[in-house]
Parts: sequence; C-alpha cells; structure tokens
Amino acid sequence: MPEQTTSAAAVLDTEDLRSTIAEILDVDPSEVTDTADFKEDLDVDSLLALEILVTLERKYQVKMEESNLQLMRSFKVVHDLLAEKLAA
Amino acid sequence: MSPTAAVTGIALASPLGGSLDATWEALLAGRTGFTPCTATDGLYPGDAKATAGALADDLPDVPAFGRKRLRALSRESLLVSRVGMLAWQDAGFGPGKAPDPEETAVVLGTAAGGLTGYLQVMRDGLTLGPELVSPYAGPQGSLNAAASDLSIAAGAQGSIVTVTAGRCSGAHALTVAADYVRTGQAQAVLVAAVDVLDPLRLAAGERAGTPRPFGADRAGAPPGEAAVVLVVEDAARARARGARVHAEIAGVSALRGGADGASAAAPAFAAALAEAGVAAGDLSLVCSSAAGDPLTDRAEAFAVHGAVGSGTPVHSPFGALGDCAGATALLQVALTARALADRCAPPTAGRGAADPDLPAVAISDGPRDLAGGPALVLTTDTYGQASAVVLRTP
Amino acid sequence: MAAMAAQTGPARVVVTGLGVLTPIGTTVAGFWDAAVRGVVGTGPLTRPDAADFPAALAGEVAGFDAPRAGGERSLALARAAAAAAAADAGIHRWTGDPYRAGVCLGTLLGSRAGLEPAVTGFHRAADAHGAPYPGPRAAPDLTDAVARELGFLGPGLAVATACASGNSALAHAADTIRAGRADVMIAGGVDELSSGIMMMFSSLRSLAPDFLRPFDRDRAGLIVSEGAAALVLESYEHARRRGAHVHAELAGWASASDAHHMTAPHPQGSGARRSMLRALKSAGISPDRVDHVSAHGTGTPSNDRVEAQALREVFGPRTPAVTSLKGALGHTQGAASAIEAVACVLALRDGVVPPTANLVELDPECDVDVVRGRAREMPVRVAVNNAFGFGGNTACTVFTRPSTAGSAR
Repeated sequence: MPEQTTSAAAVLDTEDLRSTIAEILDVDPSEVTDTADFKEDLDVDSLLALEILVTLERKYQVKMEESNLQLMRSFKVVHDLLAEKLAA
Repeated sequence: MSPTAAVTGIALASPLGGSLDATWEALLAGRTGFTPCTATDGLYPGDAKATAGALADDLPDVPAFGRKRLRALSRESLLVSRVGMLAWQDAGFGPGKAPDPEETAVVLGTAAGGLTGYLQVMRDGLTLGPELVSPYAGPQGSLNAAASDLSIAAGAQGSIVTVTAGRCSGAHALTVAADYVRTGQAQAVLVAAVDVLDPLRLAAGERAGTPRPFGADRAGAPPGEAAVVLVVEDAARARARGARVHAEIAGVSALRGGADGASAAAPAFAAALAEAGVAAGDLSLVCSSAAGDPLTDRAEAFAVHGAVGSGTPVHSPFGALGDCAGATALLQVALTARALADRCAPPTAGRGAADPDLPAVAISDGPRDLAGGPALVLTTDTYGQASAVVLRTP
Repeated sequence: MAAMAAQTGPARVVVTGLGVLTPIGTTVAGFWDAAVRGVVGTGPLTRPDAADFPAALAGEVAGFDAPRAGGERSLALARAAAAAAAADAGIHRWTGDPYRAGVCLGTLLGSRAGLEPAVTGFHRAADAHGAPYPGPRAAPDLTDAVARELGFLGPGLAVATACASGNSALAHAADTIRAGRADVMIAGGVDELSSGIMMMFSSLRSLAPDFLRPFDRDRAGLIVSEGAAALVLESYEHARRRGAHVHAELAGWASASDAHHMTAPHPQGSGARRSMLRALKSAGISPDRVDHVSAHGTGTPSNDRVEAQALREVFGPRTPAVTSLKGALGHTQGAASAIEAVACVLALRDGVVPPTANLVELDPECDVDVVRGRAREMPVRVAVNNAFGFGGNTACTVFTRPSTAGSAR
C-alpha cells in the first residue's frame, strides 16, 4: 500500500513539512525558507502547487480546499493552513 | 541517391551492465544476468516473482540532460533520459555542439511502457480516491510518457512518436528514424527503446527456467529489462561534422505476419536484404532474438537457414539477458554495431543440445572472428511479427 | 521497391475508405449527419459497470456492448472501424501480397483498460490474494486483431502520442506508403473508456462538470469519451490501378514536440504552430489556401487559448473556419484526431463545416473564426486537422480534395 499514511497525523513537525515540500520541488530544504515565494523564487507552477496539495492531503489525511491553491504562495502560508486544518 | 541513415551514438543499460562496453564484455565472457525479482508496492494480487534479467545499474548518477525534478518520472522515463544523455555524448553532441533543437526528433519503441505507472494510478485512485492521485503520476502511466520525458530532457523539439509492436518495437522505431532522416523531417533522431520488469511480466515469468536459445529442451525465457538509445543522423552530414559512424542502416523491414500462426521472419529477412541491396551470402553475422521460445526460435532457425544456410555465424544475446520485450530489437542493433566494429561475435549463452527438428545454423558458441561484411538483426515474437535490420560499417 | 519509388518520385497518399464508431454515430453517414446537426453525444455514463468508473459523465459508443475484460472492447472497436473502412474502400479481404498491406493504429492506453475489471476487483476487495490479472495484453494486440481479420500482414504497429495518436498513426502510415514499404495501410485510432484515463484527467482537474465547451468563455474542461476511426490510405498509383474511389488526398503531415512540460501546453504554442507549418510545407500548400481547421479544441482553459494563439500565428487574424468536434464527441483520446480526420474528408466532400457544439459565447482570448450555432456551407478545398497530446506531443495532417490532388505540389 502507499506509504504516506501516518497515525500521528495530528502532529505537525515544521522541519519535516519543509523537507517534504523541498523533496517535491527537488531543492535543498534550506531554499524553502518561511517566506520564499513559491512562484517567483522556487519556480512552482500550478501543477506543482497541486502536487504539493495532494501530497499534503495524503500525508496528513486532511482535506485542503483547492480554492486555497492561489493562497499557497510560501512555506509559512502552507504551514499555517495545514496547522489550522489539523487543529480543527 | 537517397540519404543514408547512420548510427552515430549508442548507449544502453542491460541486465549485464550499465553500458554497451560492460554488456559486451560480459557477453564475451559468457556471463548471464538473471536474479530473483519480486513485484512490490501492492500492485498485484499475491506475490509476482520470477528469476529475471533485472538491470545491473539504473545509472542514478548520470544527469538526465540536466533536467530537474526527476522524482516525478517513471523508471522508464528516467532510464531513457539518462541513457539518452549518454548516447548524445557518444555522438559527440553537447552544449554548443548540437543539431538545431527544432530538427531533433525523438522516436521510442516499447511494448508496455508506463504499465507500472498505470497500475500505481489505479491503486491510488481506488484506495485513496481519484482526487488524491498525484497529478504527476497519471501521464507517466501512458505509452508516450518516456518519449515525452526524453524530448523534454534533451530539449528536442522536432518530430515525436512512440511506436509499439511487441519485441519488434525497436525496429519500427528505427524505421521511423530512418524515414525522418531520409525525408528531411529531422537532422538527428534520438531513437530509444525501453521495457522494464512490471508485475504482469514477473507473474507471467514465474515458471520460466534458464533460456535455451535454439535448444532441444527450450521452454521459454524469463523476462528481462533494458533501455537503449541510439542517435541516428544522415551519414553524409555526420561525416561532414567529423562524427564517428558506428554503423549505417542499410535496410529495414518490419512485418506483422501471423496468418495461420505463420511467422513473418523469412519475408522480413528477404525484404531488408532487398532494400539494402545485399546478397544473403555476403552477410558476416546474423543476430537472432532467439530466447528459448519453442515457436519463435523455430521460425528464426528456418528463416536463417533458408537465407544463409549453415555458414554465416548466428548469435543471440538473449540467453544471457532474458526476453527484453520492446527493447529487444534495438538492443540487438547496438550489440551488432559493436560486433561489426570489433569483427567478433560473442557466444550464445545457454544453448544446450541442438534441436534435431531445427535446420542446422551456425550458432556462435564462443567469441568468434567475423569476416568483413554487413550483418542482419532478426527479431520475432510469438504473434508472428518479425523485423530485420541490415547494418554495415561505413 | 526502393528503385521503383525513386523513378516515380515520392508516392502520393490518398484516402479511399472511411470507418467510424463514435458517441454520435456508428456509421460514417450517421456520424456525419449528427456532427453537422451539432448533436451532443456526452452525458451520464449508463453502461452496466458504470460504478467502476470514477466519473459520472462520458461519451459512450451506444449499442456497442463488448466488455472491457481482456481488452475485448478496444479490440472490437478497432475491428469494427477497420472493417467498415476496408469495405468502403472495396476491400473485403486482402487478396494481394499480404506483406504490402499494413495497419497502424493510434492509441493512448492500448488495451490497458482490459486489465481494469481485475485491478478494480483486487483493490476494491482489499484481497491480497485476488485472482491473477490477465496476461500483459498490450497495444500491439489492437493491430494484430485488425491485421489478421483483413489479411493485412505487412507493417503493423500501434503508435502513441497521447491525444495526438490518431494523427500520428495517419502520418506514420503515410510515411510507410511514401517510402514504398506498403501499397495500402489501414490507419486510425482507438480508445475505450477507462478508469485510468478518468483518474488521470481528474488528477489534473481537467474534467468538465457538465459539457465540453470548446473555445467558450465558460469552458471548464473535457469529458472522456470512447471511439474508433479508420481510414484506408494507399498510394495514388495503387488506388488508380485497382479503380478505387478516392475520397481525398492526405497531402501533408508533421509532428513536433513542445519539449516543455508533461501536461501543460507550451505557453506560446510552439509545437502546435510548428506542426501546422511543417504539415502545410510538406503538402506544398501556403497557409492562405486553407479553408478549414478541425481544431484539437479540448475545452480546457489552457489548450484552447494556446491553440487559438497558434492558429492566429499561422494564419493571421483572418483564420480559416475553425471547428472542434469535441463539443459533440467529448474527448475520444487516441481516436480523436482519427475521427476528426474522417470529418475533414467529409467536409471536403460536402462543402460543409460542422458547428462547435456547446459553444455559446466565444472567449475573447480565443479570437479565431469558430463555426458555432449551425453548420457553415462553404467550399472546402484544403482542411487542416490539429491534434495535441500531453507530453507536448503535437501532430497535424492536411487533407485536400481529390480533384486538386494533381496540383497539390
């Protein structure tokens, strides 16, 4: 079965999230700073943004609204959105 | 005279090694490439495992023309992008020294490219829901993914097509490439062939034993995997830029066959010779795709015997590699170009006692010196399909 | 063979037979009548195994109940289209040299859908020891079935350029004839409905909620359909010798790669533009002589915008009459451009361009002459057929009337 499910879904480890996103973007985690702009600085197109969303939904077992895609412009925004979902 | 298509770059990964050199040396030494393999990732009911010709090296350190985000690529796409990079370099191309990207074509042959990706999409869609299928995964499950990824990696903006015809897929790809070069549809063509071990092939190969090409006790071949990329150009243009020509493609024929189970081996053999303007007696080598299948080996033996009798050396690499599916024909072309260059035929691994029901052919049983002269690559499959490619040294 | 071709120049390639099975008709006459009337063939999926599909909407070939398992449905669609085309060409079973007649079919997934009943059963039942899947029946079987039935035992293969596969098959078959490796080829495309393709388009958020609306301001994606089309192609000399009726000439063809992205088109439509220009160049026809373009027009926001831009770059602001049959058909995948090629041939024959179904308000960003509302009667002498697949694979074909065949180059 796919590997992404985790029973500790409610725990959000910031650095783990950072490396997850860095792996999707194929960059070093240090490049995924809190404020680096996904589109301008990290070359994230709409498909890659969708890939981030789907990967996070699978890993953390949450439903992230696709209307949020436009908002997901930086690591900090993604982190806060996810933290909010997990707290809900 | 119409232009001649020439092979100027060769690279491959096979069960015997991550390069043409490594594969060639292993064949000369009589080694085989079989290991126990099991399908993973919950893609198939129960265990799908077989002794199979798994790749010796997936070339993880070879850059795919500098392309990033390789994580999202299927294994087929990664392999042809990496092997393609090596073939491109072998042709003497690189930054600042390459044909016009708009005149660089990609043609790929495969029997089942993308099947593993397709099964992954089905698994994820059915177990997690369609909305949770990775948007990168879907396209990797289609037949044209590996060619597309190669064109993206190489920046090749010319003609593009994926062809599929079982074990003869690579011969069809080479035919398309030769057409492109001869008709001016491309200056250079990356011609690729790939098939990897997927759960279906492993399950089907569960009971396969050691392959016995042309042998009396032959009973099928274990599955094998390989990725091959050639660079094909117009021979005159290649010479003008000072490129080394590995071999010229003198004639090709790829036929469906299959009437009443009859193989097209003999007509394909004859048609390729006719296109090349080569007499059968002038051939210095026949590279056969015999892998121990009862019917195809028989068809090939009769076709070879009918054309060249028992004088011309015949060699099959598949006793050492297994049935490499859609990569078969192009693998033969690469190895035969090497055999012509070195004037040497490797031994045919796995051949046991000769089958008394087959006509006598001169199966190579040790490294064997070749007379000069063109060679013919003969490929067949169990549906009756057959292809023949005549290669000659420049 | 090669020597003969050299004496007479490259062979001209003509169309002598047509066959289609589509969501709006399963005969050439029925399909064309519905296309010209703007009949829409997509809607709720009604087949008995509809629950196994992850989309509620589709375009089904009605009255065609071949099952999926083992790839039977794709095989049956391919055989039926090929048999119809061969009969139209006056060929019931090939009696000439079997190795001079071949088959080339375009497909996106081949008969991979034939695995789905077993794969679905395995994952749905969460049974780790389900039945083994059927053997690895892959795309070549599609060709094999057609070749055996008709006795076309020469060059035989399937080609794949995703949604451009039909045109790629026509192009390769034409190259095969032009190179003198065959006298006659059956070329076309086939794909059936599959869960896999629906999951793929769903993962890309490309499925429309109700209708496929090409070039519309409110277009929101595509609807997956099934279908098959076959064309009998032969050298002009061969058709003339056997006295065959020539429907049209396949005057030019070309393909090009965006080399840009696996799913997004090149932002400036680089491959699309070069495919069209190269196909026209190979036909020896200048863009200003083109009367009609059968657009790829998938109804996805990015495809239609980029295609319209490429059309304006090739043809200038006054484009030929553009139509997309996908509003009516849905997206028939690898069969799409083969079906649309049949429509081009019929547009040449009848002097009529079908409307783009479901197009209500043209997107200002797609500022080309799209035929909408009702069919347009007009002289059609040259028709261009566009097909663009993911992976940046593009392919175009150019058809001309048989009467202009002699002066085409």
